[in-house]
Amino acid sequence: MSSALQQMLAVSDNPYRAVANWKERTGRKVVGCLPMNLPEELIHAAGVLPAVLWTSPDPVTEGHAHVPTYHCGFTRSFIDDMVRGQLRVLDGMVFYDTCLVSRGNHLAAMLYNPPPLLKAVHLPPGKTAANRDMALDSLGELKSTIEEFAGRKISPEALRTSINIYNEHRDLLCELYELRRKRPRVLRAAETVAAVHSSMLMPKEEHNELLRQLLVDLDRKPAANSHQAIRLVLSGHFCYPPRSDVLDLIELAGGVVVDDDLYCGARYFANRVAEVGDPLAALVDRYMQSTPPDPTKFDHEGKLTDWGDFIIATARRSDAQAVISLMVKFCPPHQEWHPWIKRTLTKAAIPELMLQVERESVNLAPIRTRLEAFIENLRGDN
Amino acid sequence: MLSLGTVTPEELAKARQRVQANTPAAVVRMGKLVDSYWAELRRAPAEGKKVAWHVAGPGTIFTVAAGMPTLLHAAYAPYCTARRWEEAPLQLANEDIGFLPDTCSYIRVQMALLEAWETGQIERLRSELRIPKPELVTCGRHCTEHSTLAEMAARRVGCPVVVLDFSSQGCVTEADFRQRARYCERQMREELVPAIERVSGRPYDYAKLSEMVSYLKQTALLRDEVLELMKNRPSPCGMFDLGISVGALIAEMGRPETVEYYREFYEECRDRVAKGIGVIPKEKYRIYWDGYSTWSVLGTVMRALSPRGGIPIMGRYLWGFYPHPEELDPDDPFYSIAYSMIRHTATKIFPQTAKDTVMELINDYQINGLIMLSFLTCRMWNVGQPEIAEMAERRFGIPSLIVPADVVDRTHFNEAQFNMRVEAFLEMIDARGKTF
Repeated sequence: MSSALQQMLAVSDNPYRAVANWKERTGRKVVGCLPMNLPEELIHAAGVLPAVLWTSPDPVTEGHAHVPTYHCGFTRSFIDDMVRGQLRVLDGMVFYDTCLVSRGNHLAAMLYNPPPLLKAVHLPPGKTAANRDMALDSLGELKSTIEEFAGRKISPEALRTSINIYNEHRDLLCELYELRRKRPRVLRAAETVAAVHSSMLMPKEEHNELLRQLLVDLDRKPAANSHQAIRLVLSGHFCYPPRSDVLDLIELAGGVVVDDDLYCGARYFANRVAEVGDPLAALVDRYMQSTPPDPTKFDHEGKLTDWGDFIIATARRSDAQAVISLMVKFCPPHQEWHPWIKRTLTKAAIPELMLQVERESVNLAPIRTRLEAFIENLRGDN
Repeated sequence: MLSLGTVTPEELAKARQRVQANTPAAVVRMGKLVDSYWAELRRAPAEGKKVAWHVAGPGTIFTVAAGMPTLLHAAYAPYCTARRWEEAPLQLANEDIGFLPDTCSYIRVQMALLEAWETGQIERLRSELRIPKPELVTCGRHCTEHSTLAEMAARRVGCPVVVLDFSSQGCVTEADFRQRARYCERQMREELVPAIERVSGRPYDYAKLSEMVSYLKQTALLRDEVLELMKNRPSPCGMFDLGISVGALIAEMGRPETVEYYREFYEECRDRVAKGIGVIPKEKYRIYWDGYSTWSVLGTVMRALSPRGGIPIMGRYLWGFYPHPEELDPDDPFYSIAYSMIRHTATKIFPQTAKDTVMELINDYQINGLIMLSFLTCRMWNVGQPEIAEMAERRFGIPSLIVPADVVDRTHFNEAQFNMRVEAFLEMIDARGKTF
């Protein structure tokens, strides 16, 4: 296995250790960011590591007293970690209003072992002129907060440098995804997710190096036989990476993942930030992009059809035969939109299977049966 | 034109029997006002009026002022549920649309109505529930569910949609509230008013809006008087009576009939206080109720509590989403409504700040214990409840009970378990011997 990939897997498997090691090595600060849409470049430009808040591989224990079991895995894991003091490695945390459920995370961070910096910013969900100005104000406020916290000003040049590094990272991941579309078995689905997820937990400069190395290693890797496999697109799974055992099952059942719109996937690195003009405004412009369609935001132009259409375009671009929606259990934004996505895909004659997945270990047998039946149907085996 | 109608003695007796409480007669009339609100909507197309749908805060006032009868999503699902008509829409939502059962109940019920219209299945819903499709959808967004519903509804029927960002997240100081309210006002002027003008085909009626805000202010002032009277022992009415009456502030809002309603409600409560008459015969346990007025099991809850001397008196729900009269300004309707909404959702609903409000309410209303509804399909209330319970225990020595439920879907509520837990909870209050 590529040593770059091994490092990525190690980081993704144990974010606590990865972040602590980096901090110890560099003596610099780390700020946790609520997943999905916070512009990390702003934190990076202050010489601070922005780490996307992660879920623990451990079962929730003390957290049960503070959050019901019918909240999403990310929220339950985060609250459990806060209560148990597992996130003391972080010097700060930044929150925004991703969804109704995630608001509880900010409260837990305030009450249990809060880090020195706790900041809630408001990122408007829409794209009107007023929304845009509000987003600019909010990022300006976040910038000031981070400057004070880091003890240094963020110059436009420093922000542009960070934007360039992040754009390079996006380009490299695009290259990796392009490679996977062409040679689907070049990376397992779980490895691809780890390649993206690890980048959320380490400086992008270092991750860019790993990605370059990985691309070289993969280029040398002999082509795997995948002509029998059913080409699949994975969709959904917001806020944290899908379980690797579920991803492995998809492949064991005879599928091969050729593309996705997962948060720990193509959604994370979609859309470059403009490298000219006001860098703060450029970050707002990226935030306001509606591709991939984001159900935590609002789009006057019509997300209802767009997300389904986007998945269809993704499937066609990657010559996929079917789509698997991975829905985090108790994720309202995804579950509210899923029926409409299903309708759009059905209309386009693209088979789709929705798997509701949990953070915790569950009995995988029913998932396996459904996957096998789905893929056998696609093969026309029955 | 809305109507309060009259309530027969039989209707009053039946309503009181259902909750085993001495419900104010005025509150029973609310049902008539609600009926007339929905009838007005059903009549609208025949009268050549365009129908709007509004999701969440700050209510229907802006489109109604423009002559568009307006469905409020937060009134439709309660209407279905309180009348026990929710089963058909929920079935349609779950089975035909494919929503999972833990999806926001308000979304499920509302989208079921559109699904029924769009697929020729409207007969599956009772005639009372057949509210016309919207020609404009507006939304004052507090959460993702709100804008999702607005967008889904508009896309389903192909009409324009305006979503106003009404989130108060991150607002802490007075300066924050003002700045956010100005932002809301700007959205209303730049997005909402032009959209209403485009759909209604006429200039926006600012004078009508001011007049309606004036009625709203009078209504809210009278409501404040009722809230004040509830501090008395025994309380002349319960929290659910106020819950039933919130429609007058967000759905039927800004109409003279709502002023009449609350005047009657207030006068009845005032008389009761003067005579020492309570909403239940022997008030023993004054309960703080955390969460919505739980339409799906309201009668069940009352029947479990009332015979034992328990009555839900107060909750943050009554304070967070509704206009505070002292802040409403008919001459500055957009800003003043936005300010009231932002300030009170920030300080009275979100758990980051609401805990202080809850402690004040416990003290002011002489609360003996807390029942906290943990909702399976609207998870806004849930995180923070254990912390509020602990704070109440520490500060006032009173116990709490957290109960899973849903505001619409009865399948998420276990009546037997609730009754058993309530019994133990009330015994716990007795054991503590804590009285104000």
